[in-house]
Amino acid sequence: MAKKKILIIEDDKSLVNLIKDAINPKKYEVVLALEAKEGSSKAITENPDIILLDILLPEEDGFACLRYLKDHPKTAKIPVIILSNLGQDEEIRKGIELGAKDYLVKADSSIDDIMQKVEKYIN
Amino acid sequence: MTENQNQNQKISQDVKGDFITIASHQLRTPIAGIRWSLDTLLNNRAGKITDKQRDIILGAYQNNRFLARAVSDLLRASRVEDEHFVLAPEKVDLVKMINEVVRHTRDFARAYNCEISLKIEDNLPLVYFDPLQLKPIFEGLVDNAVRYSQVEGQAGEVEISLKRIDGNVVFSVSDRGVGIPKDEQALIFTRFFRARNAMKAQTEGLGLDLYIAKKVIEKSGGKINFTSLENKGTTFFVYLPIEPVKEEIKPTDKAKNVEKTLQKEREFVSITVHELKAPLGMAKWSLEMLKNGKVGKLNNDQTELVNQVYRGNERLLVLVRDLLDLAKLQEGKFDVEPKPFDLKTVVDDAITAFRAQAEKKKIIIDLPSLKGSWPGVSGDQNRVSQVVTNLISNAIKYTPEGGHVVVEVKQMSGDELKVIGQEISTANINNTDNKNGYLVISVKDTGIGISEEDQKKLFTRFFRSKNVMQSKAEGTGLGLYITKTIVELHKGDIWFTSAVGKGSTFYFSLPII
Repeated sequence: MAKKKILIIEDDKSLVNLIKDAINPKKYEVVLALEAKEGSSKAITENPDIILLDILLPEEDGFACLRYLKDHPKTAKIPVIILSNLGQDEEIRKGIELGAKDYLVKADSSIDDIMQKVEKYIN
Repeated sequence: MTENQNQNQKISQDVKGDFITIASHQLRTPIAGIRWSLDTLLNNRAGKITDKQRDIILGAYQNNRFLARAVSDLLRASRVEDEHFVLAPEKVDLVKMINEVVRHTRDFARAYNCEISLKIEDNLPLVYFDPLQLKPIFEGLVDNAVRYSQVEGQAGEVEISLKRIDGNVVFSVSDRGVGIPKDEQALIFTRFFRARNAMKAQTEGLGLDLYIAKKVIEKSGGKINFTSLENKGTTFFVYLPIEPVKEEIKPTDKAKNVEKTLQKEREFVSITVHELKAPLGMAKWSLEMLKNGKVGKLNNDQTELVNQVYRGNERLLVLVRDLLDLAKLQEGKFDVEPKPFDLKTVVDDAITAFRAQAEKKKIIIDLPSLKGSWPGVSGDQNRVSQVVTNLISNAIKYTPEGGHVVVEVKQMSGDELKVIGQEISTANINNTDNKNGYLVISVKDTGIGISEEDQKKLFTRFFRSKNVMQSKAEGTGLGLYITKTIVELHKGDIWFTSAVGKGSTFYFSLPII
């Protein structure tokens, strides 16, 4: 079976490497982006099967990126899961309104929780 | 309300508001990083671990979960108590939500040797509630039931049911554990309440979750209550409305006992900080045991992960310490009786302390001082030293090699300060009444300068510049905020001028006695 591709847009390198190392390389290929613009362009060039998006990104925030992804015909159908921090209720609501499928609170989720959500929504 | 009461209320809001914002904002990322590093170690993804190592790592993991829950509860408590707290209710499928909560809790329950059973009535209607507020309430109640379900020798049992009663869907969760002592039952919905019978104080959380749950549920038109018998068990009932309920606006009696409120907020902050320190201290001890090989060897990947966790933990400890510091300062409390001291000595000592560091970066520090002795000032010498140190430290940090840091002192009148306040748009100079004038210390650097956007945020609660020169010990971002608070406590002001690529100058004033 062909490997599925996961794009993670998250500016904390140490955090994102922890997720990447935990993902089964036989089932998934992982592409990383450290900020919104890089994330948007990789979404177009790499055509991932799912996107994990940090809602607090430097420079251009996660919402602008999300809006862009949902507007662009090439990326609109890719499911997006928001990565948020504790206590970001408004941000989560906003993200779902903008078209994200679901959210994960980083400090509240184990890596297994993340993979379960990925498997649930992946194209 | 009298002006004094107004003032006190504002202080109390600032003390708690600041604290909670900073605490939760800053603590969150290290907590997530620590959790995932521990996840990776526990799952043998970095290599096999021995049973002893597993036990220690699990201990650190529990501490981390406590912290995450504590921070989450702090945020929710603060939100719920805010005057402007708004709920966003919608139709919620309780069956789906409860199934998710149970699924999420099952592993945790098994670790407590506890089975969860679910009894759901058919054809349950949707309820009208804010889902983002509701899920943590269920998670908290089920969590507690699992913890309390332990009975000696037997596997624990937790029963959850959903059924319709008139205009509500009623959620109930029962355990057959120790129950809540009768004399404590009246208190369980108060802040920071933790029952005597709690297995371990730490696993309970801060004791805010029931307080929050009750406030949110009642504000949403629902009800929460419980029955409990010692050694027989406890059942909680939550009544959730099927139809939207008109919110009852209770008149707030603001004038009532503002002083008591202020006292409560101070306790809130200091209790919280002390509670947070304990798991951090224990985690530090566990990690040291892992690192020094006393419970088995670690391979390179494992060592790197443990170090990462250790660093995250240290960051949290520094942050919690700073938070306590800040809370004390904001109360207007001096650590020691303010008294006259020699500012020249303080500045000289600070410069000496940084000379070696400056030399490494080939930075020259200068102090062309006022000749002779300086006019006297009064206050807490150590705190003022903290201010000078912070400013010089920043100046050096943000200045590239071969640069220049100059520390100067000037005597100025209140009127001269007023003019400066008018000339510099980012300067908020309020203390200009001292008849003897002020000593103004300035720390000037030839560093990278501060962007206009950052200038606006500079003294806010969690400012940290993105452009900081690569420095492993970044600090908590509270430095300038604490510095500002100290200066203002001494009836002085702090301000700056800066241009990107040219450098910055920071000034602070102290009244001359």
